[in-house]
Amino acid sequence: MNKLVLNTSSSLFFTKIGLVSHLLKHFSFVTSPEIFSEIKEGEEIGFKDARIMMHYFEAGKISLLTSKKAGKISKEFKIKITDASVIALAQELGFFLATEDRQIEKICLIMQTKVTNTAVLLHYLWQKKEFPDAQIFLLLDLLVRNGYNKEICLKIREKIIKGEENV
Amino acid sequence: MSEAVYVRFNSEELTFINSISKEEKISRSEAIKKLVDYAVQKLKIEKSLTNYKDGKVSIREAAESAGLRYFQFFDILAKENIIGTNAEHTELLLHYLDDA
Repeated sequence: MNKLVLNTSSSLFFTKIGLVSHLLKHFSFVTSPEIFSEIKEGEEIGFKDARIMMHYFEAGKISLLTSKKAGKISKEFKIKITDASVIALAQELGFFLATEDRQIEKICLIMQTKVTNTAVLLHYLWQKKEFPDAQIFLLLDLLVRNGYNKEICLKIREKIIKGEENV
Repeated sequence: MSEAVYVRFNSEELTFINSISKEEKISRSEAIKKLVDYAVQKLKIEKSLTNYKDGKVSIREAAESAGLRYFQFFDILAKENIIGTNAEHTELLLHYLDDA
């Protein structure tokens, strides 16, 4: 089974459009203690999506791993340790990092660390026949209604309409 | 450390400040301070949004410079519909998962 390192941004969209249980059929989830603390803080200040993610932590569906190189990456790219923690995990373990953060994505591409996002993962789930076309389009619309970048969703939508599977 | 600053307002601005002072039953100085605090916060958020959109900072860094928690800033990004990585990288990211 593939493994996915979770950044807070992607995990929030996973909960907003109800993707977690579908993704768990294809990926196992890991993240850093820093991300866990951040999501816990979100729960404590009343964010419902954070509460839903905490439920998955409590159910043991998300493993916590500490990276060795977070400090080095933080210094090298002058980024916050929480940002570096998930990049380092994905880099060290060879896993995909799921993030909606442009800066983090940019650094992953520089470091040749595998990176993905919610819209691309939706396409993956469509390829795996988790959702029929009509439902995928609804989920893409739901992403946009929840503040997601419309341009990315349109690209994914076009790919699905053309019936393109990345082979 | 605080400092007193002398500022000249025009009549329209003064009328507005006086109306805030009267409505909220606060002194004119307190009304001016309230307006300045409001503007500072708004500008911090605007600047953070711009820096995030330009790819200069992460969501976390932008939230910190706006004086907000991660989730609060995330909500603002969502309202502006600007969450999501660079759309130009979509094809590349699709191919990454291809090999998975």
